Amino acid sequence: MIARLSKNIYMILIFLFLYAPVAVLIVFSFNKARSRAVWGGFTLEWYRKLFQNSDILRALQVTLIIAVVSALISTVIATVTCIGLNALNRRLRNLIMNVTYIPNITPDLVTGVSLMLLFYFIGLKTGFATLLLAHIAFNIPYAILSISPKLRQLDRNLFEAALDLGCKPRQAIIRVILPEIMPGIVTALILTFTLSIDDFVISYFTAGNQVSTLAITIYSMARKSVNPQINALSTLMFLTVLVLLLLVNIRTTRDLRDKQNQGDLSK
Amino acid sequence: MKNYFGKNKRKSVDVPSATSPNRLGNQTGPSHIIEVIGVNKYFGEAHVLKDITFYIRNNEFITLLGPSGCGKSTTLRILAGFEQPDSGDVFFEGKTILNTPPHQRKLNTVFQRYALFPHLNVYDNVAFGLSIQRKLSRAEIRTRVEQALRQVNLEGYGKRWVDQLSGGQMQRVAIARALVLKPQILLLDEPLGALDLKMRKEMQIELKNMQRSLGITFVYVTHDQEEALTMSDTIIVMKEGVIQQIGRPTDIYNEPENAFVADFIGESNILPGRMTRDFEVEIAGHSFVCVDPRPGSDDVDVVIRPEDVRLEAPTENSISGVVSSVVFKGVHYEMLIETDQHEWLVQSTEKANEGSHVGLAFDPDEIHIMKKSEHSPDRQPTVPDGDAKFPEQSPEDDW
Repeated sequence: MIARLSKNIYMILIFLFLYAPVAVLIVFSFNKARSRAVWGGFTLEWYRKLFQNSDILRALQVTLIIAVVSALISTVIATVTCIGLNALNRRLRNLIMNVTYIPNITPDLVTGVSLMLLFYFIGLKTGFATLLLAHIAFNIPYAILSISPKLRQLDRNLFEAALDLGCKPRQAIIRVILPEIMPGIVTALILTFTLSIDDFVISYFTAGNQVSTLAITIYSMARKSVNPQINALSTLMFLTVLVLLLLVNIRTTRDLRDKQNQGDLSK
Repeated sequence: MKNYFGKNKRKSVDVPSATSPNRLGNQTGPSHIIEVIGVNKYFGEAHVLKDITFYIRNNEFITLLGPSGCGKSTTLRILAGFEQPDSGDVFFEGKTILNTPPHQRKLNTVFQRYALFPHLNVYDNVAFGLSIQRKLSRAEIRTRVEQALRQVNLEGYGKRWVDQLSGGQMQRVAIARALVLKPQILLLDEPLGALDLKMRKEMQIELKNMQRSLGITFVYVTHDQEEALTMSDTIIVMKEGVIQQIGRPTDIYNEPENAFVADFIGESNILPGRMTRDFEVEIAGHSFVCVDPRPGSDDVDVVIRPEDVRLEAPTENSISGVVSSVVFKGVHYEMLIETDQHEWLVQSTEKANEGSHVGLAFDPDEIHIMKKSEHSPDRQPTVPDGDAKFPEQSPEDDW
C-alpha cells in the first residue's frame, strides 16, 4: 500500500519535474501581465502580436523553408544510400552504418562549430545556403536510420521477382522497392522536418548574421528583454514538434506491431 | 508411394538405351531448350558447382534433387540470371544467355518464399509483369490475369491482399504471376517447402497437371525425393555441387548410379558385396545370382529395396536374422532384421513377430549392383526421417 503510494508519488514528481516548465510557459503565454511571475488574467494578445512581428514572421518563413527543403533532400539522399547499402555485403554495410551513427551522438555544439569552420575553410559565406547545407548534413543519418530497417525487413527475393517479371533494375526499384519502404521514407520526412525546426545550436553557428530561424530569434529576443511573445512562440513550437514526434512514434510502434504479427504468422 | 515404382520395375525390360544414365549436353538438337555446359561457380572459397553439364528437353518436367547445399538452387539462379557462372556456358534454344539480363530471359521463376509484392493486391500482383511490358490494353490484361487466376483455381480472389491469403493460396498467386507471362520455361525453387503435407501432395498433382496442360517446361528444385519421383519426367540428383545421376524417376529408383543416389532416393539396404564373375554376387557370405555383369572390380555396393525382401523360414543357404522391430505403416509393416553383419530394413504386408528368427530372400533382378564410390556405406541402413522436412538454410541462401 505504502509502497504503491510512494511509487505513484515518485511518478508524479518525475512528470512534474519534466513538464512543469513547459506548463508554466504555456500558461504564461496567455498571461495579460508582462511579468513572468504574476498572473494578470487571460489574453490572446501575445499571439496576435506574434503574427504581426515581421522579424518572427521572416524567421518562421526561413525555418519552414529550411525544414521542408532539408527534409526532402536528406530523405532522398538517405533513400538512395540505403538502397545502395543494402546491396553491399554485410561487413561493409555494417561499417558504413556505424560511421553513420557517429554524427547522431556527436554533441550539436561540436557539429555546429565544425560545420562553421568547414564553411569558412572552403570560403562559403554563412547564410541561407550554409544553413540549409548544415541541416541536410545533420538530418541524413536520422533519415537513414528511419529507412534502413524497412529495407532489411524486405524479402530479398522481391527485387529479383521484379526483374524476373520483366523490370529493368531501375524499374524494379521504383515499382517494387520504393512502395515497400514508403512507410520508412514518410517517417524519415516527418522526423527530419521536426529535427530541423527543433535545431538551435547548429543553426546558430551556420546561419551567419543575415538569416535567422525561429529558434535563433527566440534566443536573441530572450537575451534582449522580457517579451511574453517568446512564451507564445515557444508554446506554438512546442506543440508543433510534439505533434510531429507523436506521429513518428505512432508510425514506428505500428510498424513494430505489424512486424510482430507477421512474425507470428510465419511461425 | 515407393511401391509404385517398386512393383513393376524391371530393368532389362523398360529402360531404353536412349536414356543413358549420364545424359550429357553435347548432343545439340532443337528439342533441347536449355543446355548447361561445364558450369562452375564459386562463392568466395566454396566451390558450389563443379563442372555441371546437362540439358533440358522442351516440355519436360525436370527436377534438380539433392540435400541442402548441393547447388541445386544456385543452378536454378544461374538459369534465371540472378547468378553468373564463373566458367561454362548456358544455352537457350542454341544461343548463349549469359549476357542476357534476367528481365530479358524468356523464363519466369516461382520463388521459395513466394516473393509476392505486399503493396499490391492479388490482381495487381498477377498483372505486374504484363503492365511492365506496356504492350497490352487494360482489357487484354484483365482477360489474361483472370485466365491465369482460373488456371490456379483462384477465381474471384483478385481484390484480396496478399497478407490475407494462406500459404497455399500465396503459392498459387506466385505461380499465376509467372504463368500469365506465358514463359517457355517455369523455374520453381522449392515451391511447396512451406506448405503442410496434405497441401503439398495436392499441389504436386496440380503442378504436374498444369505442366502437362500448358505444355511448357518446368524446372523444379527440391530436396524431397518423393516429390521428385511423383512429378518429374527427368531427375538430376546432385550432391556437393556434383551431378550424381540424371535419369527418369524409374531409372533413378531402380538403377541408382551409386550408394548416395540409392540412399537419397527412398529407403534402401546398401551392403558391401564381392563379384568375382558376371551375374553372381556374394553378400554376407552367401552367393546370389543377379542380372548385372561384374563392374570391373571385385568389391561392389549392392542395393536391395526394402519392399523387395521376402521373409521366409531360415534355411542353411539364406541370410537369416532376428526381427528386432516391427512398425505398422498403414499399407505395410516396416521391420528391422538383425543379421550378423547388417541390419536389414524390410517392408512387407505380412507381419513377422518381433524376436522371431527369419530368413531373407530376394529375386535375382532385385539385386542391384553399383560400383564402389566415395559414397559407399560403412554403416547401417538409413531411414529417411519421415515427411516432415523443412527447407533448411543452405549456404547458397546466404549472401
